[in-house]
Amino acid sequence: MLRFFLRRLLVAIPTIILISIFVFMLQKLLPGDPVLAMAGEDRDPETLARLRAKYRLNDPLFVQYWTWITGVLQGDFGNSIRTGEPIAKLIGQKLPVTLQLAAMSMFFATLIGIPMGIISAVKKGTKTDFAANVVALSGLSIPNFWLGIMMILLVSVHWQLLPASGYVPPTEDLGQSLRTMLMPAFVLGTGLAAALMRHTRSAMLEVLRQDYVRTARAKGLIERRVVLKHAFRNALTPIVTLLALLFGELVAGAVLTEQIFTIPGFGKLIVDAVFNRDYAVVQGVVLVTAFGFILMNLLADMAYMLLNPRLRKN
Amino acid sequence: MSHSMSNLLSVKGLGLSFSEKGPDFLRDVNFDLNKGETLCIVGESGCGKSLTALSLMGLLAPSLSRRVKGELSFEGQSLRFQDQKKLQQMRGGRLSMIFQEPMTSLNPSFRIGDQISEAWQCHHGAGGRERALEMLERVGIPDAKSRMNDYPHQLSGGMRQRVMIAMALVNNPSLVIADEPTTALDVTVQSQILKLMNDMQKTLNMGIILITHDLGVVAQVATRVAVMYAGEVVEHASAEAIFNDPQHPYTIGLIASVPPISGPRERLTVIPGRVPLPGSLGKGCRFAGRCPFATEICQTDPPVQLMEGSHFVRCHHAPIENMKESAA
Repeated sequence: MLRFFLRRLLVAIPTIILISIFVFMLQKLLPGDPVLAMAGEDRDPETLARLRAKYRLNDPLFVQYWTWITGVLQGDFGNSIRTGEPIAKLIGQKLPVTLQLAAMSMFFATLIGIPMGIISAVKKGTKTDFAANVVALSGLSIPNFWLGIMMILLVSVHWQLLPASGYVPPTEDLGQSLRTMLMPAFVLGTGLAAALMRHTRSAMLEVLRQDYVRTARAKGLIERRVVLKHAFRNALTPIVTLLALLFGELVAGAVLTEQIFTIPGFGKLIVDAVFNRDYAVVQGVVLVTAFGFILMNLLADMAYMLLNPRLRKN
Repeated sequence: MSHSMSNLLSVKGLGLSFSEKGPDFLRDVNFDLNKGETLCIVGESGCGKSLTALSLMGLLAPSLSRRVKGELSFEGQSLRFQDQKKLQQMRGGRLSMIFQEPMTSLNPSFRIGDQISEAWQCHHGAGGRERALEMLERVGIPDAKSRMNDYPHQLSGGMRQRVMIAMALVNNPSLVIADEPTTALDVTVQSQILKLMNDMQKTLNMGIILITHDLGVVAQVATRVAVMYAGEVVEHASAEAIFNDPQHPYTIGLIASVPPISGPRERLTVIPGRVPLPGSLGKGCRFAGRCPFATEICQTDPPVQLMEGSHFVRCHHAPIENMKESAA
């Protein structure tokens, strides 16, 4: 298992290199000059030249890339052009926030999506199935930002049950941390739950017509055990794939939700960086996100091995 | 005869339609089986053999199981086919089933030892693993102890069917339904599996319903035979009577279409025409369209006639002498 993991990690290296080059080039191709942004009102050519020299923006591209990537490999993502803070520190601050949000969203998504998918597959063609599909379709169609605003209005403003925004680290006050994160996680989770429900339903429908499910019934097992053990276990592979991909997406894509609930997470970091033309931060964030995606895919592959004995080697 | 001392199973008037006004996929299916005997259900694909088996096991889809008509008596206990709850309690225990496809009938995600022991545990509770090991040894899996931890994909088709048999027999059932258990296997493995089933039958004194389209297999193992055509049992008799004195024109055609092993090679005999589609099933004898002896009267539903020695034939013209006369 460890050898498999290491081998896959090695295979992932070229991918990461390609992504890093792409990320680096993309920034160079985009319009907008960070030096102008930094200099602000003062457009004195001498200042601009000094800044360019300081950030080595006059070097040939591959030298710039090399300088950057060797730093990254040593954990030095450079400093923010805007604030001068080390990017590694920024990422270190923001990433745990988003990871907490992502984990809590996944919790909601799994808790709602998987049971609903199983039930609607088992009750295919009935009113229950229809209702579950309507709910899922609404979940997919309702935009997060709308649901987020509505929930703030109802839960925070009207009922005054939960805080509307902000963030408390779990190390500081776990209860309060969970409370502030509850609404955004629910909003993010419902959208994912819908996708998860649809996937679970189709995976279960596929598995339920397999011969071994009939065998399980023929043994005399009760239906619940047939469905939850014999069928669900075999439906897990596509579900786990989706979970891994969704988690990767969450880390990168909680932008809107983080904006609405003013959560100082990864999404907010990247949005602010883009608005400020803070190239260095954008590069760092995108690279970390891409690495996260690759890692999640790797974990999904490892989960297959655990789930499917046919893939296991002795 | 259906209530003799050794009667194990008797099926009466089993019927099944796919919709309220739809045609009957199974119509008035009757047969009997004694303890320790083998009943072969024979017929072409789509004649209702497997539907009959699944009805008996209560394994039809819920939408279908509501439409099953008829009664059965099993080990002296009589119940209706619609009583799914009762069938559910019996299956896997006193009544079990072996399926056609050993490659897909075992769950790929679980070890075979666990799959067998689960069948024991859901009827008896603890002690499944010892029992599973014992069964694997009895069905002739070499090195059974380490094989317990194998997954289905690590076994050959024949081995998997042995595992299926071990699973079906783990609770000492009095009746096993085997739906084409050897069709998916190599010929050499086929005979091994048939022999294994025969041995197990003798040790456990169980009844077997063997569903097959292979008359060679029937000749080898059957005590009694039920010939099915288009959802009906057209002839039901002892194996001897079926082969030596077939009375229904369909049975006669079926036996004639098996090529002889010795003697001059001739063109194979075939039954002209094809099995009627369920939608085109109407009144009257379902075989009439392909029957060389069909007459006017065959447009009405044929009666089930009892010949000598509990030999049932669903034909207006039985016994056979009458048919030959009417054809002449």
